[in-house]
Amino acid sequence: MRRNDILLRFALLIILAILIFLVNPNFGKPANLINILRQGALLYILAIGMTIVILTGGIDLSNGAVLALSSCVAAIAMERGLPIMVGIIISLAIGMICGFVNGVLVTQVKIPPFITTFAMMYFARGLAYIFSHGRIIYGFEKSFRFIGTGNIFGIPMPVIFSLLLLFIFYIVLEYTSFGVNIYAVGSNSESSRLVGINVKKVRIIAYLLSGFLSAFAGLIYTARLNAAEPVVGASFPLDAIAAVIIGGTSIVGGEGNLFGSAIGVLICTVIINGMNLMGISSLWQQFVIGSIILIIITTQTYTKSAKINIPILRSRKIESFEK
Amino acid sequence: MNLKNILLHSSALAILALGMSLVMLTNGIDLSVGSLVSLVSIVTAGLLGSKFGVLFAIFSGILTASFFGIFSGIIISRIKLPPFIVTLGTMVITASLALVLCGGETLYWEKNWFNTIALKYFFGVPILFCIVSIFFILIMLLIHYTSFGSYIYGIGSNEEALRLCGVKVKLYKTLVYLLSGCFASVAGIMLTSRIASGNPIIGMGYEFEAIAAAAIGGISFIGGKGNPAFAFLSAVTITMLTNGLGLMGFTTPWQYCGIGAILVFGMFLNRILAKVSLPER
Repeated sequence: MRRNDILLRFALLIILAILIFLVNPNFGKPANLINILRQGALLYILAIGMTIVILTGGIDLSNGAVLALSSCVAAIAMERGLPIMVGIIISLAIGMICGFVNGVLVTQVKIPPFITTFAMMYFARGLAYIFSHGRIIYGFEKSFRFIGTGNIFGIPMPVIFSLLLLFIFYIVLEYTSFGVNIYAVGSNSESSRLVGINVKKVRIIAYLLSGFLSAFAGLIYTARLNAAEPVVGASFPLDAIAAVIIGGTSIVGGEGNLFGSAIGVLICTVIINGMNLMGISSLWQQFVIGSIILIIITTQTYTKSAKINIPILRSRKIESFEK
Repeated sequence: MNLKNILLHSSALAILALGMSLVMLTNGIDLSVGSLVSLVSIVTAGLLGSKFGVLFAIFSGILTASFFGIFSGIIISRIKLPPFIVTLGTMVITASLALVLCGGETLYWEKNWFNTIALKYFFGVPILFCIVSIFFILIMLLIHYTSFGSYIYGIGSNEEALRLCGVKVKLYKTLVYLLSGCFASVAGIMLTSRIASGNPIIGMGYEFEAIAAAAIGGISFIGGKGNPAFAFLSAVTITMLTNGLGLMGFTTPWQYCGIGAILVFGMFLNRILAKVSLPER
């Protein structure tokens, strides 16, 4: 991903924010800004997983269903009186198992990621209904709810978690060999295999991370709502994909980064928040987001020749793996 | 009786899978078909309620979907953007338009012959499935006996080579998305007739089911390989298996698990069959 791609997106975000602020000054209030961050945090955690999977050239349609399944199971565990930590660990383990199964089916059985994760979506959703018997499980302990509703120095916990995850995964993608491998596999899996990268392992870990992050987002979601239900998250995969694409990650893999996805999530959240503030019917939200996708991708193809150089926005692209 | 029911239920998915398989053969993907089904359902139902007559309503529905099909096709072929992203954009735009046009409500109209057409049978075969079969035969003829058919495979295998041969690749690519949009409109009109109302979320998820049906039918995700006939058959088969799960007494949650398993197993089977019949190298 080129520097001016990120700049383009950042400029769009700022322009959108200013426009909304001019129409409705309430947008600029600190409470609302924190609210935007809190709303975006959940989507961002999913978008991190989606970015990693898309970088390897795959896609994950199952994250909403995995979120529902893992949060339902954790809720049942806590309802039965198991300690909170056990519930959290069970939930994360289930997310990782789902991700692992996705990864194995994609790499070993060689089923296209699209179909694998679509099947997993049905499977996880079905299991979520079976385990919860279709009811809403509610009422959790205060200490568990803290991860969703708590504040530290006025910053909501979901925001802190998403910043922490951004930091961790930024380091992983930029400064570890695993991160380099992810970009390499996404750019050209055959030559990656020939230079000795364990392509299958990298892919499986990518899906596993996505499953883990879905489960993590599920815990935060459950804690914030104080309820877990099997129907949540039907729109999450497409929301996350839209945010990642607006953030400039290439859908064929190998190009993009987490800052871009963060900006993508913020653009989506700011639009939805701003439209609510302006009193525009929520039915139009998707229309605007769809238009933004088309406009920004089209603009991007025409601004490729422009040269703007800001070193801090450097993002990695492995030139030698390009065809 | 149940067999008739299966054919009736599978007709929408079958025609969507047919359109999707053409798109996938050109190394593309069309995520917008599900939302187009919803949009067409709303447009048709809305106009049926007005004084313009049934044929006008049907025609407008087809025109709406064709417009969005051409729209995606032109952006994909002219600006050369990835089909996934473009059709994702049109998907959310049309989904939103469908909701906006009807204000989020279900639309009804006074009863006329349009309502009953979905319930009629032609020699024991549902009329809807007959319509779908006609389209199926037309597409088979198109694929096997016209140059457009070979170009579809050519675009999927090696677009650049085809362009250098002097074929108007951009035009044919746009046509494929137009066809996919048209088929989505046919599916939308059939569903509207069957449920006798216009529903803004009726097509939700159809795009993924159509892609799954096409993929299980052996259409390659990278294009140029596969036969739309198998996509058509697998759409009917998937509906039949889902129906079977219901008849065997599985509750909805277990049916969900079953569909997941069927999809994975279908792809697995598909791979084995491909290995048996066409050994690599």
